[in-house]
Amino acid sequence: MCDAHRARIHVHLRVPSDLRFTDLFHLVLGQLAHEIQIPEERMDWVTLCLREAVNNAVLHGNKKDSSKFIEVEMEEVEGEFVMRVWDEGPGFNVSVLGDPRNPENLFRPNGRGIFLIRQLMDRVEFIHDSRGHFGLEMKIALSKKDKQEAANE
Amino acid sequence: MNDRIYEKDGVTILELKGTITLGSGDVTMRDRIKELLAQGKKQIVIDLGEVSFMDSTGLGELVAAYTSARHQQAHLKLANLTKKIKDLLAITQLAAVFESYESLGDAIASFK
Repeated sequence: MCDAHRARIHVHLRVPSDLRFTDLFHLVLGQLAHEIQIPEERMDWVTLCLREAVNNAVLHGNKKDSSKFIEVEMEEVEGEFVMRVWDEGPGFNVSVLGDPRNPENLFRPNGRGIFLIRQLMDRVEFIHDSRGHFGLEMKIALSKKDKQEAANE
Repeated sequence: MNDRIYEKDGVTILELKGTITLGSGDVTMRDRIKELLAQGKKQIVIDLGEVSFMDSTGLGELVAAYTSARHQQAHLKLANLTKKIKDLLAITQLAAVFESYESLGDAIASFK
């Protein structure tokens, strides 16, 4: 089928806020990679970032409240693979996140999830929808370019 | 995750296989290190050659293992890091914290 006529893929999953669903999203992403040409060399990083975002939403966004929900969207938009992970929390002030590479943080066992997402994805945005839900939007280019090459353009 | 503990040339090897992520392998690794330190082991190598996937929780457990060992005057080193784990350690600058070796033999020899 001609690409111009290919229906756009948009996966949207809504599940109770529980860490046991992190593996489900991991599996769905793996299947989606057969349909959307996510660069193979970046697939592990994309998977890692999705898992980090989901874990963050369950633990920190929804504060382990299993009566709440998380939502994950995955889609291909104009040459990019986009993932959005939504929780029902108010979000957080990104500027207060410490840099885990700083000497005072280096030996802390936590605080590396969002940092890794920002390092490994091409673009990351913290967003809110009309319901006031908090979302983490992550994008990577679907070409073979790595993050540095994309930044140099 | 699967794990195996054995001794070679006076060094304790903790061999890990599978994934070390939040809820999978993280607690096992923590418990094994705790057990080894409680037994008084002072020279420990974690063999990561068969670890297929690690997230920030896995990294955090490695850091916690390292600091726990130091508090007990034990030395913890890493061996057989995959490219992805090397990259993760580099990105987080934990590569400067851990003594890591290309092979298990090199890691064991480093204690002599």
